[in-house]
Amino acid sequence: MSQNTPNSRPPCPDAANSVTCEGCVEFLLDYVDGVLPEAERFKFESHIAFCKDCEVYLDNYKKAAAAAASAGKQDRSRAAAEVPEALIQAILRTRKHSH
Amino acid sequence: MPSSFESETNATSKASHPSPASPDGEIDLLARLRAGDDAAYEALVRTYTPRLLIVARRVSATDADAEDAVQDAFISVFKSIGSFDGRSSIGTWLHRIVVNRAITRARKTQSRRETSLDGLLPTFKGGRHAESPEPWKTVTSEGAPSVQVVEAVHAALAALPEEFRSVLVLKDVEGMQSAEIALALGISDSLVRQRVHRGRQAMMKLMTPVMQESES
Repeated sequence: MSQNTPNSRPPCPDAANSVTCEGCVEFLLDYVDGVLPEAERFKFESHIAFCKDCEVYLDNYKKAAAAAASAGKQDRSRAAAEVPEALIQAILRTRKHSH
Repeated sequence: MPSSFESETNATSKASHPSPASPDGEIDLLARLRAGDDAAYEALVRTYTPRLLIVARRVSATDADAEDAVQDAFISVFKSIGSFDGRSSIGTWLHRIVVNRAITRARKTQSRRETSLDGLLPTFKGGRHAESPEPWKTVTSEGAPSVQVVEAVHAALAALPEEFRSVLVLKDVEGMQSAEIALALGISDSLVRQRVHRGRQAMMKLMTPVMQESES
């Protein structure tokens, strides 16, 4: 993180806008999912255009989701090889016992 | 239900009959299961266990709990196959049961070392970020993720409280829609989205040291 302390930081360059950084962050999920209503999306994008902090935070937010999705894909590609045969057999035995 | 679950499960199927994940295969499989066909039961178990085990492992405290959750789900399906209404696919049905079983077990054991979200969410001063976030250098949207990134994702998820971990696993790792998650977990769509948002922010904080150090 930067060395700026909260008290020494200049105001957000978008301070004149009706959306603060704190309010902008609350829009992130809806914005990324494409479900943010147009009026809010306009305010959000206007804020992002001026505010470097929120621009970076949005980018990191997207990368976090992308990293999780990539990890999931990798998990699935290795899945078949990592299933214990003993588990398969145990499940099949329970089916026979349930009849 | 997640299209990724069906399509990727289809790719791993080794059944000699039509794939259970295709529409024709689903109807064929269901008929054979209801007829008590042993080979159909084996095809069902071998086809769906890999994906179900991954989801269960992400939610469960231990691998043993995850395997128990998967086994519980199959037992439930074996007992109820005759009354299965077919409104969703068998894979979707199994997936939903496994998630619920794994969450129930995780809540009972609570053996994971969980981190409170306190201190993991961004802070603000006068409406502005209290500290400037540093850009992540790692590009993760395309190509295979690095080992570091995968480990960072898993470690961050494992550290989150169960209610946040579960929804993030289903949304970000499994690719499910919020409405599907809400249905599977029996909570409102708005609560799912609130937990995804908070959980993802906490995950960002936990992953930041690795993501700043990695090279793109």
